[in-house]
This record gives sequence, C-alpha cells and structure tokens, in this order.
Amino acid sequence: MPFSFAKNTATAETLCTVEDALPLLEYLQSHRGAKVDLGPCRHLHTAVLQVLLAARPKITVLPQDPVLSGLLSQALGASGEKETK
Amino acid sequence: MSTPLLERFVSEARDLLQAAATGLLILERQPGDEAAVNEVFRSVHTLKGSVGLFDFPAFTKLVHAGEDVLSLVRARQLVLTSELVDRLLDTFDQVSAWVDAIDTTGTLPKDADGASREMTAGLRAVLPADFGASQATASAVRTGELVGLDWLAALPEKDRLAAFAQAMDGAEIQAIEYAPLQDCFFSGEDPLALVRQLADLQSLAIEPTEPWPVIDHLDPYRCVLCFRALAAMPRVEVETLFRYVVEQVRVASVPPELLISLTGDPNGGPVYGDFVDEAYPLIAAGDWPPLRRAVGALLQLTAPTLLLASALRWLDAILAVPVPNSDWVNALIACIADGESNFRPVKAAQPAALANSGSRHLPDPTAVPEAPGRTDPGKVSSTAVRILESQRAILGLLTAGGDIAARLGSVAQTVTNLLAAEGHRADDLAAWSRAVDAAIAQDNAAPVIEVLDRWLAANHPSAASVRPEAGEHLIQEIKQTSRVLKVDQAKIDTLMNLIGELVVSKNSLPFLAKRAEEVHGSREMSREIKDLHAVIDRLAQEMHGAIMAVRMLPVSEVFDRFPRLVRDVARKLGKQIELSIEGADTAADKNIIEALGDPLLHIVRNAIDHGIELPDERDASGKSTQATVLLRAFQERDQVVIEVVDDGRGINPEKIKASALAKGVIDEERAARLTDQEAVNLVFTPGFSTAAQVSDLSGRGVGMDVVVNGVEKVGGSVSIISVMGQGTTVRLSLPLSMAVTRVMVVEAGGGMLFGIPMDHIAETVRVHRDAVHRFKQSEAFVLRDAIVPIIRLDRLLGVEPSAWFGDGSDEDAVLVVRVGGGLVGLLVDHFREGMDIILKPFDGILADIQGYSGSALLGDGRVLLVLNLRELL
Amino acid sequence: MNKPLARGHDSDMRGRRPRVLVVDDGITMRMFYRSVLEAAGFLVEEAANGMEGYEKVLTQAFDLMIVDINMPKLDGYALMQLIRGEPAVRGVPAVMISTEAGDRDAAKAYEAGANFYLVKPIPPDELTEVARLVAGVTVP
Repeated sequence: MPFSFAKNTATAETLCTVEDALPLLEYLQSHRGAKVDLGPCRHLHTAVLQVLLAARPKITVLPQDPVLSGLLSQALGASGEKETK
Repeated sequence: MSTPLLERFVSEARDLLQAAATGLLILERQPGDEAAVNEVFRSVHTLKGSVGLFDFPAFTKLVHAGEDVLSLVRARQLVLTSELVDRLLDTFDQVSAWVDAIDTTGTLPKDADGASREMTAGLRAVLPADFGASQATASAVRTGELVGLDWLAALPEKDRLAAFAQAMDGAEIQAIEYAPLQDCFFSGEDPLALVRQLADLQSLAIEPTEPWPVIDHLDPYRCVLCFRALAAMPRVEVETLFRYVVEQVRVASVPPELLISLTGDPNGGPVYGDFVDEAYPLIAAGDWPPLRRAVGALLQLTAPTLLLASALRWLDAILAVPVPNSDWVNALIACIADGESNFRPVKAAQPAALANSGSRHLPDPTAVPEAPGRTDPGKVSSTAVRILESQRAILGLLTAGGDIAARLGSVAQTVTNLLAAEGHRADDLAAWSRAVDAAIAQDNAAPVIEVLDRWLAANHPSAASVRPEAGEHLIQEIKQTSRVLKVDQAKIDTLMNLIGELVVSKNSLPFLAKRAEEVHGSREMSREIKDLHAVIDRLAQEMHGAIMAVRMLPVSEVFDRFPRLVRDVARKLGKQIELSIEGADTAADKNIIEALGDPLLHIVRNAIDHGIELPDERDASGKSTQATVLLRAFQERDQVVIEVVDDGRGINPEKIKASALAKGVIDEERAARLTDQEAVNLVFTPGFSTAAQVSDLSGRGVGMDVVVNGVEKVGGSVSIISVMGQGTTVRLSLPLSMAVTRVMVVEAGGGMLFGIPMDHIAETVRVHRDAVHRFKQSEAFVLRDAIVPIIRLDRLLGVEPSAWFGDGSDEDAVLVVRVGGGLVGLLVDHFREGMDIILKPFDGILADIQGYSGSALLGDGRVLLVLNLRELL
Repeated sequence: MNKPLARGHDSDMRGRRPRVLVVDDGITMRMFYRSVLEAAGFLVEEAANGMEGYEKVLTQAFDLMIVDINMPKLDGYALMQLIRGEPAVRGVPAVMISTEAGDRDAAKAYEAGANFYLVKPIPPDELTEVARLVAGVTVP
C-alpha cells in the first residue's frame, strides 16, 4: 500500500500507481481537511494526480524529486498555493 | 454517408489486402523472394497512406504496426515465421472486416479500438524493444498540427524565458498539447509518465478538460486531464515519444517571439521616457552594449511584479545574443513607452508577413523598421518560410559538389513562383532574378544562397537542417505500364442493357425498309435503310463483343483465395500440402468467374479433407509426405476448363456403392451392374456424402450435388476421374463467355412463364377485345394499317387455357413479334420484365422437342422455358 | 542551359489554370489530391507510378509535380533524378510526399530533386497552400 493513511495525513511512498487513486480518493472523501505528504514519492500515476487536483488537499511536503516537485507545484499552484500557505 | 473518396478507398483497400495476403503466402514458402517482400510491404504502406485521409485511428494504428513489422522483414532484420504469418494474416482479416464495415456503415465498428489495441500490441511485441528509438524515422508518425497557441502566454514567465534562451541557442521549441482518452487508464497508460519523458521539458500545465465535480462524485478512473507542455527538442523526437497516442497529441513548432508576452502590474513604477528616447537610436545603429547595460541597470531599480519589469526581463533575454533581433527590441521598447502589455513585434518576427496578401517587401534586416504594423500571431503561416528554407537546403547540397545546372532551375522557379504567389514587389523578383543569372554565369550557387540567407535570417532564426547524404537509389527496372481503369460493375451491366435495347431497336429497321417499299413505294429508300441496317448490325455485334470482353476476368480472381485457404485448412488438419496453380491468367466472363467460387471452394475442401491422407499414411503407402493439390485452368475451344487435381487416396468405388446402398440411393441390383466410373459418379447424387461424419471444414452437410448445380447454372458441366491410391481429378467445363440472351418474360397458361428472345419482339400492345377480328378459327387485329394475326400462346403451346379473361379492362396483352418477315401478335396473360438469361439448350430426351430453344434458371430457382418462335410459328 | 525564369511571374499565370501532375500509386490518394487541388483551381493530371509520371512530364507542361516516394516500377527518388537530368523539364518544381517524418528522408528527397517535402497525412489546407506557393498561384 503506497499510501499510509493516518488520522489526518496520507503519506505517499516511492511509487504511487493507478491502484492507489481510489483508496486515496476514499480517504480524502471521508477525511475532509486531511493533508497529503508526498515527500518520499518519485512518481505518481496520472490517476493519483487527478485525485489531488480535484480534491485539493493541503500538500505538507512536496516530493524530493525536483522534476516531480516542479511539476506538482505548478499544477497544484494556482489555487493550491494559497491553501498551503 | 459514403463519399466517393471513401468508396474509392474501400475498393482500393480490398485490392491491397488481397495483394498483401497473396504476397505473404509466397513469402512464407520462399522467404528470399524480393519481389514478394516489396509487394507486401508496399501494399500495406499504400494502405496506411490512404487510410490516413480518414478519421479511423484504430485502423491506422493497426496498419501502421503491420507496416513496421514488414519493414523489418524487408530489411531482413526479422524472420518470417509461420506464427508471424498467422499474425499478419489475422491482421489483414481484421482490417478486411473493418473495410466491410466501412463499406456498409461508413464507420468502424464500436469494438474496433479494443481490437486494434490488442492486435497492435501483439504485432509490436515481435518488434525489437528499441524499435521506436532506433528506427525513429521509420516509425515516426505525424502528430496533429497544433493551432491555438493562446495558452503559451499563461505559462509562467520564467519557463517561457528559459525556453526562449534555449531557442536563442538554436534549439527547436515545441508546444505540445496532449489530451489523453478518458479510458486510457484501463489500457495501462500513464499520461503523466509519458509527459515526464519529454527530454527537455520547459514548462508543463495540467488542467482538467471539464470543471471538477464535487469530490464525492469524482470518478478516479476517468481521465479528464489535458497536458500542455513546452519542450526544447526536435519535433520528430516528440512524435517518436508519443507514437502510440499520436491522435491525442497536437504539436506546433514555436517561433521564439511567440514566447514573449508581458505580465505584471501595468500601473505604478517610474516612467522611463529617457531610456526610451535613448534606446531607439541605439537600436537603429546596432549599438547593443550600451542598451544591455541600460536594461541591466533598470532591472535593478524596478519592482519585479510590475509590467515594466517583465518587459525589461524580456529585453534582457533578447539582448543576450550577440546580434539581437531589432524588431523584437523595438516592440518591447514600445511597450515600455506606452505602458502597454501587448507585445507587437514588427514584421521580422512574423513569418505571416509573407503570407499576407498585397504588395510587400521581404524584410531586410538592415533596414530601419517602419511604424509598428500588426498581424495576428494566431494566423502565423510558416509555410512560405519552410519552402524557402527547403530551397536553401537544396542549394546547400549543391555547394557540396552537386550538378548545379540540374538543380538550380527548379529552385529558381520555385522561389520565383513563391514570390509571385505572395504578391511581392517587383524588386524582390528582380533581385532574385539577378542572383539566379549570376549563379548561372559563375556556375556557383553562392549568389542565390546569399539572397535566400538574407531573407531567411530576417524571417526565422532556425536554420534549415538538412544533412546532405549520399543518394543510394538505383533506377529500377523500367517497364511499359498497362493502364487499368476501375469501373463499377453496375456500369458494365448498364452497358449490357443498353446494347440489348440497341439490338432490339436495330431490329425494327428491316421492318421500316419494308414499309418504305410497300407503303411508300420507294425501293431506293428501302435499300438505303437495309444498307444502314447492315452497318448498325455489324457495329452492334462488335460492341456486344467488346462489352463482353470488358466483362472477362482472369480466373486468378478466384484462385487467389486458395493459397490461404489450403494453408489454413492443411495446418488445422495436420496435413502437408503444396498448392500449385497453373493458368491463373485464363480469362472468362465475370458471371462465370463469380459462379465458380463456391463450387471450386467445395471441391478443394473436399480434396484436402477427404482426398489427401495424413503424412504418416502417405509415408506408409510409399508416397511423399507432402501432398500436392493442383489448380489448373486452360481454354479448350469455347470452353474454359478448370481442374482440381490431388494426389491423395482417390475414391474407392466399392465404398461409394456401399454408402449409396445404405442410404437407399440405389438398390442392390443396380449396384451390382455399376462400373467403377459410374460408382464414382454417384457422388454427384443429391444428398450424397461419403465422409463418415460431416466435418466443419468441408461439406457442412452438402455434397457434390451442390457443385453440379452451381456449375450447371452457368451452362457448365462437371466430371470426376479417380484412381484408387493415386488421386482424384475434378474437371469443370464452363462456357468462356456467358451465352447471354435477352428475353422478355411473359405469363401464359395461368402463371407459367415463358421467355421470348428480344430480337424477335417488335412491340407490346394492349388490344381492346372489340378490336379483335375473327375469321373462322383465326383472329387478327389492326396495327397501324397492317393486319396482324393473333395467336393465343397457351393454345399454341398446348397448355391449359387459363381461367384468365382479361383484367377487367377488356384489353388483352399482345406481344407483337416479327417472324420470317411478318408480324404476329402473341396473346399472353401478362407481360413481365425483360432480362438477361443464360440459355441452356435441352439435352438428353428433351433434345428433340420442337418449339423451344432451351431453358434458363431464374434467380428464384424456377425454370424459364425460352420459345423458339421460328419453329413454333 | 534553359533559363529558369521562363515563366512564373504573376502576369503569366493570369487567365490560365495552373497544371499539376500527381504521381502516386494509391488510387485513393490520387483522388484526394485531385479533389483538393481541383478545388484550389488546378488542372490535375494523374500518374500511377514513376514510369507513367516520367512519360507525362516529358510530353506535357506542368507548373508543379506532386510525387509519392514509395511506388512500383520507378520510385519517387528515381523519378526525380530522371527529371532533374532532363534539361527540358528540370525546372518544374516538385513536392515529394512521404509517410516518414525524419530529416533523413527529407534529405534524400532534396538530394533526389524535390523542392519541398510533405508528410502524410497532409491536411487539405496545407496541401493547397504549398501547391499554391510552389506553383506561383496568387490568391484571387
């Protein structure tokens, strides 16, 4: 299970696959206001990205991978940034 | 719903698929056959080109995969195994099915995407893993052209600045828009992963294609994202990366100036009037260092969120090269002067300047720019620039030692045409013309290259990138070509009908001649009409012959499907069979060829299924394990003969007899008297089948009687010769051309149908019963001053007079026929339609019956008796 | 040496329909070219292979040739080489058509004698524009 779900934070692991989209979505649906820690993540599947874009949870830690981090901050940037600040 | 182009495509696709399949089978047996490889490859290649005209992505993808495989086979990098042949044949079958679907519905079936994906993956699995990369040119597929580039301005400025810097370094910048299919997750695609593979990704915007739903209603497995990216890499690399999703991707090459757009707060900040005033003369003088320093200094003083700062950052980027583009600089200075965010580069930044109509000048980089004009950047057409770049590249090849005379002509003409098409001023044309003359005089391309370079430098920073490479083509075998015209069958049939009517019309001329002599007393006129009749008659006959010749097709039309069939069936049954074909170019009428298909199929299946033994059995009887089936066609007098010869076990007459007895086809007494040949002929008896069980391959519950019926329908005959242990020969004899007779069908004797040859018919009339005169037993009526005797057809033929007394209108249907120079009215119950029939003379005990020329089988299976009026009347 | 500027000025083009020769073995492709180019005002002549194309170029005057690369009998490259070696017709501009988008193939086409290179599938607008520019047809 590449996401470990805690009370109010979901933490990603190295690779998030298409299988992880639904559990993440269900978690975010049932835990409004939960945060997501993408620190360890090196790639996340488009389906997971889509859940993040639609649900706009607070991203506490961006991935360490610089490319992915850049992509995500731009994609989530527009409205996500205000929330994370 | 179908267009002429689509119809053309359907017919071409069928031909190409047949050619590909045929070639493939030859190739399987003779892997070295160069001509066959080329034929198969070219067929598939041409098909790919044609299907690209339509929106059938599933079709295109699959054919493309097939082409990739075949290109490796052609290059001898891939061995054509039986499994691969199977796979390719399956592919062709699938594509054929789609062609049929397109033919009937105009579109691909719903499941085409899935089938295509699966089969494409199957084909690609045989390709080497690095195929896409190493064969980038061979496999490169063209992505769509991206139009709207408005979104570029919305990308972060720092990304655009970075890309701009790359472009100034000579990189090609591509704008990529990728909208994955909504169900792409289900086929294992990860669009983000694909986008991340873009080598030099400068910027990426990911946006939903529709508003996000409430989080509770989000479907996580439906992809609704659209990716927009800027990448500094050649287009071909982008296309290679996205080669499996090409139709979801649009790419455009981005001229650097399109990256420039200003953002930030337009209000506030100092007014840089002095800077603007100083800048213009510096630009005009090409004195860049002071300008660079000034821009650098102002950047330090300006708050970065201001629009002014944005303009300065762009100025800084443009000025970073040794010789900056003065138009861009001017435009930015204008922005600073006006406090305007609208970047309006003057002409040099605009390849569209070339595409606009009206008389204009090609930009001259040394000239001081005119007042800022404006063309819409969305309408940038780079075609003219691309063409000029190509000419430049070709001239580059010349300097490498080509034959200038051979190439300069077309280049000069192309550039001249382009200038003319663009409506340029005469002095551009004159400059070009002078350069061309100079080049010819010096036998050196330098003067024209110089002019082109000047124009191009002003238009586009990217240099033409064509590497000269040694040509490696040999002029292929040159042969006289035969030109083939494809004609719709229906048109030929129309011609047949018309010639039939012409014959009938022509037949009224002798009657006219007679009238001219008898009624109008002009022998001379009569003779002239007769002469004319002779001429028209000859022409009509020749025309008939010519039209019949058009209908002639080679038997290969039918034979071509057998290599595949024999191969498949043999593999299924575990038999080893070599099929040879002789005389495939023997021709016969289209109807004969078409009627031949099913009977032949049946005979060949019978031979493989029942005739040919398994390899072990053959080995045991001292035969080669590889059996032979020979399909042979040849012409024998006015017949075309088709033989199916196998070297199998032959037919056992005793087994046939026993089987016939068991089935009650014959009785014991008859069985005892039968010769072997007669016994063999029993297989033609309706419902007869020797196979212990009906296999799914042959028979399907029908016997050789089906063959006989099919062949006899077109006036042919079937015979069979079999030698126990050595094989069987089935021989079909068919008329070369259909003895097509045009008849009019009439009904008489209460629903019986008779055919009357059209040649005899003068006209059809309806005669009021009161107008029929009776003279003793005879009846007659008056037709335009002539007395025409009436004969009741039912009485004439001795069939029961019908209970038919007219249709209430008190009129009788009378067919006026011309026999032996006189007119006769045949009274019938009804006129029916005219039709072309295949007349089959009576044989056997019916052969001597008078009054009939023969019979014909109607489409609904009824027999039509055709009257011989000369004998009857 | 024939003078390459024999015609092509806009004054020459007025009142005469430009003639284009399409050389392609695909019957559907030929129909496509014909319909698009006729709509753009061209008179279209077809050839089904390189040999036929060569004969037509030698016997008729064209303002433009559109030449497929992969063809039976005589392929596009060989056809272009023949034409460019023939002084009477070597000035006719030619656009080669391929399904391969690589630089290498474009270079081969230019080497053989093409003046421009287009990659299938060709959008009708692009075909029209290129044909118009290369054949020197002004927009009415």
